Amino acid sequence: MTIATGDERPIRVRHAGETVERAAWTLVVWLLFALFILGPLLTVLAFSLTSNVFQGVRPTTLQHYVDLFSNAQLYQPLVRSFEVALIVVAIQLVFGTLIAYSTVRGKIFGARTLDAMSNITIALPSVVVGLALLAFYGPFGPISAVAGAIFGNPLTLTWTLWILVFAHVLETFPYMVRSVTAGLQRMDPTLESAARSLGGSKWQVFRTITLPQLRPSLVAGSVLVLSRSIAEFGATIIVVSAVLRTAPVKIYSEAESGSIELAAAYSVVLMLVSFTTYLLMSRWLLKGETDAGRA
Amino acid sequence: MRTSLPVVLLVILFAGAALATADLRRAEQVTIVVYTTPALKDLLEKDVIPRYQNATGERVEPVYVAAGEEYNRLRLSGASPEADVFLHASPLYLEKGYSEGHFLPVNLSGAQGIDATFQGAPVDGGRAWYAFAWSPLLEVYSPRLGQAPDLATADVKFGLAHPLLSNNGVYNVLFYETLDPAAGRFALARTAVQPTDSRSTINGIADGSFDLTLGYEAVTLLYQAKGAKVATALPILHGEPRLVPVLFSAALVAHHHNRDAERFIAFLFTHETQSRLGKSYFRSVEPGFPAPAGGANLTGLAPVTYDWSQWRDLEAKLPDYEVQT
Repeated sequence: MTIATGDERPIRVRHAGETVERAAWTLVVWLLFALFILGPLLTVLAFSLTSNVFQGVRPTTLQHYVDLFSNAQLYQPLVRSFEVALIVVAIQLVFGTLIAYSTVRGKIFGARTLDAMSNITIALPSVVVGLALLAFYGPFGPISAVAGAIFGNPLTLTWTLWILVFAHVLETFPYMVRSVTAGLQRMDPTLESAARSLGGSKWQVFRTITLPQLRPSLVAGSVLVLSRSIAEFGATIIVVSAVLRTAPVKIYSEAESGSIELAAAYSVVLMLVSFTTYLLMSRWLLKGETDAGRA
Repeated sequence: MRTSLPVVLLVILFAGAALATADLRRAEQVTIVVYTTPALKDLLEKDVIPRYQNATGERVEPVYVAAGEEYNRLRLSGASPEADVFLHASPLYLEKGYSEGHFLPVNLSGAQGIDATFQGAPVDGGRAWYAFAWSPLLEVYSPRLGQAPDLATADVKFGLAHPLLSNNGVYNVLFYETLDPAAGRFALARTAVQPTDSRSTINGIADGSFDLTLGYEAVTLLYQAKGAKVATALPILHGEPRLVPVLFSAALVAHHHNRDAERFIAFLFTHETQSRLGKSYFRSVEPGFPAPAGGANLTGLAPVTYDWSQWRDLEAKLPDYEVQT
């Protein structure tokens, strides 16, 4: 109930019934949050600090973290995840921006269809994306057949770095395109027209007018692409070679082979790293947007 | 000319991506990829691979997937396989793969001391496979059953491993089909859960999913050392203990990309590797090396041997041991 006091700020009086209702809702919401999100994550943390879950969960050791950071076989997938994500961000900055620019500015035929289709991999299960790539670029796919017919030597990308990068590009593609598309749509198109009318070339206008205004969108897209690529599992498990196994795949294989405590330690590190990266880049993004707002 | 911060960051990003590409490409070229079974995980990661890497400076990457899955993965690769070497618990897929052109002959110069049980049939240029370690098949059961049950009569929950996905399952079929197919049907009728590898087979007893199964001695000892509450005995059939050797075998993948793959296989048969197998609960294929601590007493038992060149007969029986839901 709200009481007008004549002052500018109304005073909100809370009845006992409202307080009980609020307490009940709080309990329900926090219980659900604990059951489905906090509980599982904290259990992973407890497992990671337990020497052997067979003998009961007793979070008293850091041994699995020591193993993780002292054994190259274990920490390398984490490095690989970041390397792949970095390559994918670089590709998306060019590829995603190009697609978004072409569709928003209507530079190509079928721009609207392409814009609609750029969301397709969000709708598709990532395992399907992986299988599609394996089929297309694998030894029994059309690329191999065409290369074999032309060069006499079938080209196959199975188990290579390239098919892994393609999978991550496909999976992260909508995030960059959507982000840049939104940025372009917010932009005042007359600025570009004015710059052109003052004698700027297309490239000059793009570089000096369009790109600077797209900066927050590009950073936002990069953050999403980076996070999504680091976490990607469904398509990766289908196409990745053993040498290039990424962190999520390593977690899966450790858990599968019975090293649940090590898999848990790996998960905690991955969570921390992903969350920190996300936080740092988001802060940078927010700062960029604030600066842009001030300007 | 003034260079803005975003341009500098962009240049750093692209340079980082280029360096990452170079690093990943290099890793692809210098690593020996080994398709193997989870049963060998501790032996490989805690002993063999670190010593090999220290001795040669090469990287070795093991891939642990159930046997059937790995074989299918190899077939899907065509002429550009991911794996260089296969290390498996049963020679069935190695014999099959060799006959289908997925493997090359292995030529071991120092194989004279290895018993014929531990070698594949001779082929042009060597042998299709060599076993580098072995372990007896054991019955693994819940301690609450008391004494070791007889596999032909125990009316308990069985957990026979999946015959088409797991080598452990292949050995179950071999065991029953060689010794008593009726006992196999008896066990299968009492099986609801079928684990897909030897580790989850032992885990199934430890977590109470089933009461009785057949597993590898090496994996069981490892889990017992980790605290798993499981009991073991040599498999008892109609009152008699039986010795079925599980052969951990190596084969060389056709079209393998790393030319040092054969050197890695040879490393498994060095005196040092053979002498250390017992520490990881495996048994050596060469005489004179110690058995694992806590291992079964095999004195006076004749092994049930199998002619792996007859793999087609065994493979034909595998689907019969898949639980139909």
